[in-house]
Amino acid sequence: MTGTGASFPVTRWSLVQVAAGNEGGEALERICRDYWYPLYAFARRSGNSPADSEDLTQGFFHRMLEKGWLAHAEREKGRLRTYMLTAFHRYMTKEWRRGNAECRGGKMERVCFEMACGEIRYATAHPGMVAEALFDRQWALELMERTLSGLRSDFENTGKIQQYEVLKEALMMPHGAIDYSALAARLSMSEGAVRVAVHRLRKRFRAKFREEVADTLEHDGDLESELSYLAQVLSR
Amino acid sequence: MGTMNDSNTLNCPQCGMKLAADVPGGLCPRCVMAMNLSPETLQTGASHPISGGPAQLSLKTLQEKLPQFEALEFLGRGGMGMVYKARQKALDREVAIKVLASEWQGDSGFAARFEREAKTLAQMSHPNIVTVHDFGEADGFFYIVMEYIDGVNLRSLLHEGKLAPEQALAIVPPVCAALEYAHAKGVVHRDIKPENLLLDRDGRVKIADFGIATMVGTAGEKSGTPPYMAPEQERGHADRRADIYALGVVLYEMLTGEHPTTEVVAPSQKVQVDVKIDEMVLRALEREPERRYQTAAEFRTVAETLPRASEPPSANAMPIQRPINWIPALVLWSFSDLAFVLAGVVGLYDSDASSQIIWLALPVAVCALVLASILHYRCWKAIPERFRTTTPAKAIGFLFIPLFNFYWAFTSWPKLAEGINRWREEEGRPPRKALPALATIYAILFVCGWTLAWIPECDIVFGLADLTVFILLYRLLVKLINGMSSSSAQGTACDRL
Repeated sequence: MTGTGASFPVTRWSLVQVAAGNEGGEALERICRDYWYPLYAFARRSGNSPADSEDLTQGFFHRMLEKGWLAHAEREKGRLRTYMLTAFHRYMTKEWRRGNAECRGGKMERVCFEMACGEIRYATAHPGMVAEALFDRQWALELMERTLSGLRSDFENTGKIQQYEVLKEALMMPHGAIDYSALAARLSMSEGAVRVAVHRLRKRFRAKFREEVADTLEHDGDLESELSYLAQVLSR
Repeated sequence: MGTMNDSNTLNCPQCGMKLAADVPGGLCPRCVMAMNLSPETLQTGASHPISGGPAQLSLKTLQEKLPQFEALEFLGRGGMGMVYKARQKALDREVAIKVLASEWQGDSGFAARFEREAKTLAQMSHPNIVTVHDFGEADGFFYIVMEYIDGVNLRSLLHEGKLAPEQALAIVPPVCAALEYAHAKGVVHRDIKPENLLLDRDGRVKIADFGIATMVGTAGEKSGTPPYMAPEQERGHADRRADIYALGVVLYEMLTGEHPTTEVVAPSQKVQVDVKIDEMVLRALEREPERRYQTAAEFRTVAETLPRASEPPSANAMPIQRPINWIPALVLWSFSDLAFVLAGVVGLYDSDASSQIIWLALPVAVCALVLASILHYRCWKAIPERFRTTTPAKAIGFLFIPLFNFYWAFTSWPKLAEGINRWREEEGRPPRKALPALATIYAILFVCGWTLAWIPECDIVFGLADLTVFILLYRLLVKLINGMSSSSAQGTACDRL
């Protein structure tokens, strides 16, 4: 998944609106690709088997497309994160009541995303975290992932991929702990240039992350609270 | 999807946290967030969260700097520094070590301020305050050794969502007790927030980081954490009432799961809580410090009296109900009933005179109705809450719904009677069968009286019958209720409407 930020000037919510319309195939696929894993992890942590979780996730997106759920998306809540989880939870409960596992995944056309790695990822998912918290955490990680891959492709486009690989570590270090001279040596740059590059990287990371988060919100006013919520979620 | 690391057991070189296989870009999300976005305690004088974040020590470095401790675990990061779990070798006890962020070291006044504050903190000994064991400076790092609390902070509890009102209210008194103690010593916390309220395994609440905000900022400077900062604190003045405000915000968050907005929306409008809780929260959140609770003790008293009201009544907690006096209502009710009878009698011969009598008697009738309603309300209020079937607000509201109001009036007395009988049964007394019977008869008379009042004969019959049954019913009701509340060890829930 690379460069989604650049190719999506629309908000995720508008993406949802597009997906809800008639020509929503591609948009929906994107939503699926971006959000399947948090939902999968949620299903797994709620006690479903890997196969059932996969079916549920597939079925959910399939049903979304088929029934045009997105057309009725409850936008008043304003957060795609909350909306997706609520809708998925509702879907899971309904499926569980019907108990027809065979209908879930069996006949429908599968949405194409690589679920095979789901279990590998799930194996290292935070143990002991409740399903909802796990979902929020994975959600936040997806947003961070998107941010970082966006940054990465920006560097790639300007032919500075090596710089990115070296400097990205600095993102998690406090100013005082960064060994600029070592970084400078590795990149054959001057120390001053590295300082500037790190500073810029931080700034771009912050801006991009904010952008990614804003894309999942209907109201800009919710941005600060969502950001602080995500930071809390990831600090666990 | 996520960048996969080859090994699943990588640890973050910064905070030591185990990294899952799917961490984005192979970076520790916790550190990236903390370094770039985390909403933290403000740095002294700064209006933005610390951007670089506090410098962090690895467990090994900490161990080297403080050889008398065995560094065990990195517990977390706050705006002021890092917290580690360690074992104090000499005493073989677990402690928490807070290493203050290196930012402060450049500040020339810091060392003196640190020492002064730490000394004050070390003198504080309260069951609801995290005890400070020791403090010092090692190799340029300022650290504080504190009691280790095996539990969670309130923030992690809030991650699960809002708390039940009882739970939320239970947290307030111990926090107030601790604040009361500290304020008496002249120490203001200045940074009360869920992160600083710890709950140990026995459910005890303890305030952490007392005085740290003062330590890193000279008085008059701005320090605190934005949503919990009192308006005057943002302007640089903070006294003990700023702590009360912050606790108000915490309470609001516990009840509603949200932070209060500039125009505070009462918690009861967001969740189902008693309006008395609204009053308490809104008072703590007053923008003007003068209008808040002036002391933590005052806040505590209010918080402590509230939850008792929602508990089942207990013998010593509930005051005895004042005996109900029904004579004034009876006198006026008799007047108005007799006026109706008179009007009915006159109306047999002269309908004009009859309506004149009714007009003259109308004010008395209205007063009688008011007094009778109060009497009815007092009877209702005197019985324990669990036996009540409605609320006064509903009762009044229902009267405005056509047709339903008749049904409502009809069931109002029988329900009261039923409640009293159930109460009696619970107390081990025999239920009074006459009570529901009288109540039902009265209800029928009431409804018929109102619908057939235009026929003079009916006025006479219903006026007389109403008066008789009114006397019989309320005499019995008042006798039973007064008897129950005075002799019953249970008391009543009369302080709660």
